[in-house]
Amino acid sequence: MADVGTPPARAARHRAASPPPLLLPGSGTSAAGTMWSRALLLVICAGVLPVLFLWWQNTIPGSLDSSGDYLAAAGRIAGLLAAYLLLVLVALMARVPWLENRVGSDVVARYHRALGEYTVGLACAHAVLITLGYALQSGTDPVSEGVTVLFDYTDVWMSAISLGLLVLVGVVSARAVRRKLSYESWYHIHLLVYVAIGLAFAHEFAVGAEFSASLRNRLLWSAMHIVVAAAVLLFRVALPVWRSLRHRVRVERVVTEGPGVVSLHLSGRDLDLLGAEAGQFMRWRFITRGQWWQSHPYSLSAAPGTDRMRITVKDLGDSSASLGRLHPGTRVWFEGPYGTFTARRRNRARRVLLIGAGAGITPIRALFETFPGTGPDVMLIYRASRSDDLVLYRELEAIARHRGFGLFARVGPRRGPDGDPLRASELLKMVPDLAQRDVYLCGPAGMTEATHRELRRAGVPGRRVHIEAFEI
Amino acid sequence: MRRTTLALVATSVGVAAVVGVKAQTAGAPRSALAGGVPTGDQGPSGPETGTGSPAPAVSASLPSSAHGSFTGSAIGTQYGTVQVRAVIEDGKLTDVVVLQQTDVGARSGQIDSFALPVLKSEALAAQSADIDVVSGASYTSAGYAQSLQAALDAAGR
Repeated sequence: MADVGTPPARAARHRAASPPPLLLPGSGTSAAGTMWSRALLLVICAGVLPVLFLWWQNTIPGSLDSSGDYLAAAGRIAGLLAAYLLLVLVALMARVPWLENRVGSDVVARYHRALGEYTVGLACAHAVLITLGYALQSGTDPVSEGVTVLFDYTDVWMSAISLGLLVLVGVVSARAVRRKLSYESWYHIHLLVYVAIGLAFAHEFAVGAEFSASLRNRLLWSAMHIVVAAAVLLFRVALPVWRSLRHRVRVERVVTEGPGVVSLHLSGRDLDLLGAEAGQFMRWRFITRGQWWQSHPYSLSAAPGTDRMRITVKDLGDSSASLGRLHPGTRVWFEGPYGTFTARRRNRARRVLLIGAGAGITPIRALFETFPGTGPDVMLIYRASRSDDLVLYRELEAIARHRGFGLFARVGPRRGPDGDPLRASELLKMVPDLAQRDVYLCGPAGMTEATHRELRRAGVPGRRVHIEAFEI
Repeated sequence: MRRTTLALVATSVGVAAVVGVKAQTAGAPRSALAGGVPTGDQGPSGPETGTGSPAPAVSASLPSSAHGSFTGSAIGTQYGTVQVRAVIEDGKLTDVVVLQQTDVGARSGQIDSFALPVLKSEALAAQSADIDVVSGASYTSAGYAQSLQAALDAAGR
C-alpha cells in the first residue's frame, strides 16, 4: 500500500536499520479475500500432482532398489518441485490483475515470501540428494561424484550457478539481511531469479530423465515456462507501458498537506477507462532525474475522475529525489490499479466504519468520499499521534458535513492496551452499533493488528474487518 | 524461517512416502530379462533372431559346438539403443562386447560406465543373459540382457 512513508530509497539511506515498508496492500481478513486466497493455494498445491506424476511415470519397476536409488529419486522429486515452484513464485509476482485485485497484493506477497524460502531449501536438497544418490549408485565418494556431476554432465555447471543465485536471493531476503540493504539493492539482486531460472532450465532437459526421454514432457514443461514468461511480459511490461502511453499522466500540482506530507495532483486522459476504484493503489514512476528507474506504490487519496487522480505521500522534502520537488508537467508512468481494499468488499446492506491512521488515511479518504449513504451510514475514526499529523482533515470534515457522515479524530500516544485510544470500550462509545458494521481498517502494521484485536473484542466478526496494513 | 523448516521436514516425509510407495510397486523385478522396462526391438541388425520382448526361456547351456561372435539385436530404450555381441568359444561365453550404449541425457554415460562392467561380469558368471538389474541402470540392464539373449539364441541354433 501506499507507503506514505518515505520513498524506499530515502528511507534506506537515512535509516539503515529500518527497512522501507514493503507496501503490501491487500485483502487482509475479508471473507472474499480469504476465499480467493484459498483458491490460489489450492491451485498451487494441485500443480504438485502432475509434477509428481512426471517422476512417477518415468520411474520403472526395478529402478528403486538401493539407498542410492532412493536418494536419487528423492533428489529428483525435490528438483522437479523446486523448478515448478520457481515458476509459481514468478507467476505470483507477475502482477496478474486477478491476483492483485481478487486475492490481494499482500496475500500474494506473503505466499511469495514463504514459498521463496521453501523453494531455495528444495533446490539445495535437490543438489545434495542427487549427488549422494549418484555417488552410492556408482560406488564413488560424494565429493568426486559431485565434481563429476558438475563438470561432466551437460549444463549442470549452469544449474550450479543458478543454485548459487537462488541462495543469494534467499539470503538477501532473510529479514536480518534485508533490513541492512537498500530497497534498490534488494530489488536488483532479486531480479537475478530470472537468470537463475534460465540457467537451471538447460540442465532440466539435458540431465532430467523425465524430460530427456520424453518429448511430450519437454513440450509441457516448456509451455509452462512460456506461459509464465508471457504473463510477466504482458502484465509487468506491456500493459503498464501501453497504459502509460495511452493515458499520458502528468504531475499537475504539488500541494503541501502538512509537515512532510504532499499531495500530487495528476492529470491524464480517459482515466475512467482504467476502472480504478477508491481504496486502490497504483505503482508510480516519476520520469525525472534520479527517480525514473524506481517505482513506488501509493494509494489514491481521492476518488479518481476521468482526467484527474490524486495521491498523498509522506515526503521529507530535503533531497533532489523528493516528490515535493516534482515540477508540474513531469511525466508519470504507472502500473495498476491494484488492490482489494474497495467498496466491493462490504456487504451492501450494512453500515460502514472506516478507521485510518498515518499513511493509512489516504485510501480511507478516498473511500469516505465515495461510499454511498447518508448520515450515520458511514463513520470515520482518524487516529494520529499528534494533531499535526492529521493530514487531509479539513477535506474529511467537508465531506462529513456535506454528507452528514460521522467523523472522529483520536489524537495522542498509545500507552499499552489500556491506554489505546482505539480500545474496544472507546470504539463502542464512538460507534455504538459497531458490531453491526463492516469495518475498513488501514494503517501501520502494529496499529492494524492492535485495532483488529479491539474490534473483535467489541464484537465485530473477523470476516467483516477489512484490513490494509503496511508490512515490512 | 521456522515455518519453512517445518514445511521442508513435512516435504521430506511426504517425498519419502511417495518414493516408498513407488518402491513397493516398482521395486520387484530384479531380473533384467523379466521385463517391466519398456524397450523396443530396433530391428535386425545382427542375426535375424532374438527379439526385444522378454524371453523367459533362458538358454541354460550352449551347445559345445557353438563358436564365434554373435551379434544381438539392437534394443531401443528411451535412453538410447543398447546392443551387445557375445563372444563364444567352444560353447562357453567368454566375452560380451558392447556395440551400442545409451546416450540420451547427460547421465547415461556415467550410468553405463558403472553398469556395463557389472553386467558383463554377471553375464560371464551366469553364462547366460539371466542377470540382475544393476541399481540405477534399469534401462541399460534391460537392453543389455535382451540383446545378449538374442545373441545367445543365435549361437545356440
